[in-house]
Amino acid sequence: MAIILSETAAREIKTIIKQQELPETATKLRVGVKGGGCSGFSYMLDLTEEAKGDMDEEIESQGIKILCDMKSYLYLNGTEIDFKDEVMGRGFVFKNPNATSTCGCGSSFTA
Amino acid sequence: MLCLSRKTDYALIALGYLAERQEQIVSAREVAVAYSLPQALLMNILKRLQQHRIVVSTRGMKGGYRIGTDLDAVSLHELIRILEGKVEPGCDHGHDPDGPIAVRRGSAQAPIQALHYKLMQFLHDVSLADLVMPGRRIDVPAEALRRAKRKSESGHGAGIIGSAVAV
Repeated sequence: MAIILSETAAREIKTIIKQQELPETATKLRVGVKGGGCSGFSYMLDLTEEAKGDMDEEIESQGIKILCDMKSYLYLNGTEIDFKDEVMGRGFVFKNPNATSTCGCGSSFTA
Repeated sequence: MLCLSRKTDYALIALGYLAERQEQIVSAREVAVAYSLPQALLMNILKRLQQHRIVVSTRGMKGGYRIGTDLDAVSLHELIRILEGKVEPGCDHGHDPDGPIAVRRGSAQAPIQALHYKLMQFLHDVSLADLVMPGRRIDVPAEALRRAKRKSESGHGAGIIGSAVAV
């Protein structure tokens, strides 16, 4: 398992990288979660040129390098990131299989 | 500006919580504690949603609520109508002359009528599933994806910018 990008998500990320005039080969996608407790986690996406850190997993999907800190990776392993462009707006959608297996109070995932 | 009432806001939060736990029965108290919401108001909201079969309740010590319908079939407009009785997009800040106004159908001004039509169309087009279902709702808007500031630029380390609805 890993974190994978859909074709449409990857296309959109590449477009954003171009629009922001970032170096195409050096720019990576950092994916993470923040928060916790009963109200759950929030997903995070970011573009970065930083190198893989000691606490990072590095994955490649659809030609895009993805960095994810190990703590977040526990919750995101197996997640597909898709992109939607519709009446609700344009944005990234996380399809996270871990999110359905919460504990009784909903305070944590079973990763 | 499209404003939602507290009731609609809390209903969406509660439905999102239930949608993430479809195999479980969740009490109003659990949702109230998780999001620091007023429990009495939340109970009233869930009771109202139950009357319209959007959620179903189970009685007893381990009683609570779960999603009771296909949320694809319920629009945001319908949710607001259930909770508020009428749908008036926008905010009505009463006497504040500089505050935003409710965008009412009866406005004599053509641009406001046009805006009302557009907002109502939007409220009809958006389903509750679009807003609350994990894997359906937008978690990080496209415009939030940008390069993080480097440590030397921000002084606070590389921050992650895009953020989202709770998992």
